[in-house]
Amino acid sequence: MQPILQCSHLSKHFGYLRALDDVTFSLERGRIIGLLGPNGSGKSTLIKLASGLLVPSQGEILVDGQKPGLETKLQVSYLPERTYLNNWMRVRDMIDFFGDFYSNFDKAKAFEMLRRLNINVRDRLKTMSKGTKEKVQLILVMSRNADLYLLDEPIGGVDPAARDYILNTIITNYNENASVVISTHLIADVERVLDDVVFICNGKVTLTSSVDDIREGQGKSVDALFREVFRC
Amino acid sequence: MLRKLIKYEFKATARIFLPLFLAMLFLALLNGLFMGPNVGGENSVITTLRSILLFVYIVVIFSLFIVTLVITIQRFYKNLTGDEGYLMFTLPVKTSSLICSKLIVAVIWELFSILVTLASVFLLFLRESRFYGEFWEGFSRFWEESRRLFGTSFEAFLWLAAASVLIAAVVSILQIYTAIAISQLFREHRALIAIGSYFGISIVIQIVSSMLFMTSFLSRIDGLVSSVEITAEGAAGVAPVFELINAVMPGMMILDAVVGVAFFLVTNYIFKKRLNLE
Repeated sequence: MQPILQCSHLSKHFGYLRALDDVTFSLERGRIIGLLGPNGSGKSTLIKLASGLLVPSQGEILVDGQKPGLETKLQVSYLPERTYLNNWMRVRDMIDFFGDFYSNFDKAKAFEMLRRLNINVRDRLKTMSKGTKEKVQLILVMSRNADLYLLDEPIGGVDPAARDYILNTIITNYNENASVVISTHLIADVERVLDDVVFICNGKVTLTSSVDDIREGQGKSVDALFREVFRC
Repeated sequence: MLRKLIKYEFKATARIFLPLFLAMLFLALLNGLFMGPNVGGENSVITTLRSILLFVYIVVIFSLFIVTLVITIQRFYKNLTGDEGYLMFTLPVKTSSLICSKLIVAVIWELFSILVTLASVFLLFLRESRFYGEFWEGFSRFWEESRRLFGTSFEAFLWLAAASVLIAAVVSILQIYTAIAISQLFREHRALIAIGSYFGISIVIQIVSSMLFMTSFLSRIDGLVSSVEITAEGAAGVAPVFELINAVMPGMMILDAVVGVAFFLVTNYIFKKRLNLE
């Protein structure tokens, strides 16, 4: 089967800054992948390239064999680090918005998750705390039946209890043909759900491996390996 | 998808414009009720109230036009280049649809602002019903006189004027969009760069258009002016004035439209190929 995400000699420069530098790797379908690296290593740049928010400087990035564009935007469900919700809307308006623009948005699923997290759909986003907004945003993103979920720091701002619920939501809510990319530096929290990891440092991919290989081959956890590789 | 984008753009802006329109019409109505010749007589309370009402009404008119401009800028700047841009630019819609939806809705609100203001002026004369008759009479007389004097060229002039005002409105909004788009090419001081580019574009357009005016229009004006003869019989000779204007206007409109298309293409290119949200 065709990889869901393919990068070949992918580079992105911002002026003199090389945010990504000649990156080549691919991700298979049906996996949960941790995109791991220190701050400023190029994680967000890579995710933005895949979601079509940035255009590569050199090389190529393909989502399901296609360059990011109209079709891939329907296949990709992207959670940015920013809260992009319209402050003047109510949660219900946001759900209608997603339903209107994404044919693969599952409203029933969104309502169910909101109910589980005790979020009132009539609440205005303006009055919500940052953590609640992040939960709403993640619910919207995970309620789409997408092929590739790109989650940029999905658990940074929420409490540990919600963190567990969200991670469980992620593992139980994607189908076997879809892949989830989670970018984070909170490795210990996500380690248990990951199938594969991609280590990224200074714009270069330094390691792609399955979690099982790290545990069996090196006899250590991903967290321990990360601390070793990225020792300051 | 453009239809859906326009729908949400209206939703986002109507909650600001509709209350303002209502406030304006309501204030005009109040003013109309208090402005009649016999209301209150010499009562100083009424007189004071009357001046306050008129003042507030005028303030609302001014603020409506400032709000129209601010909303036009803010909807584009905040919704596309701010945090909300992460949502808008990952929707499965074309970049050109995003720009068009903002543009269409901004133009429509601009037109509505003008229409509602004109309508509110009529409400001011509520107590003097004679005014409406007189206004209509005066207007029809003006219309007939103008047609008698200038012939069909006057009517053509009005159509051309309306069209060129519409084009100018669209182009002026696109100039704002272009300035904001240019600012996205830089990583710092984006707001400042947007303002700077707006004035930079204005200056360039001024220089280019005055050069075009010098070379093309002035070379033809002699021929055109000599056709306008002020005859002893009076005004009949000024009829070609509008013919003169009408001859020049389409060219200016086309130039304006070309500039507008260039603005659109630049904005679309930057958002499509060079986008780099903060």
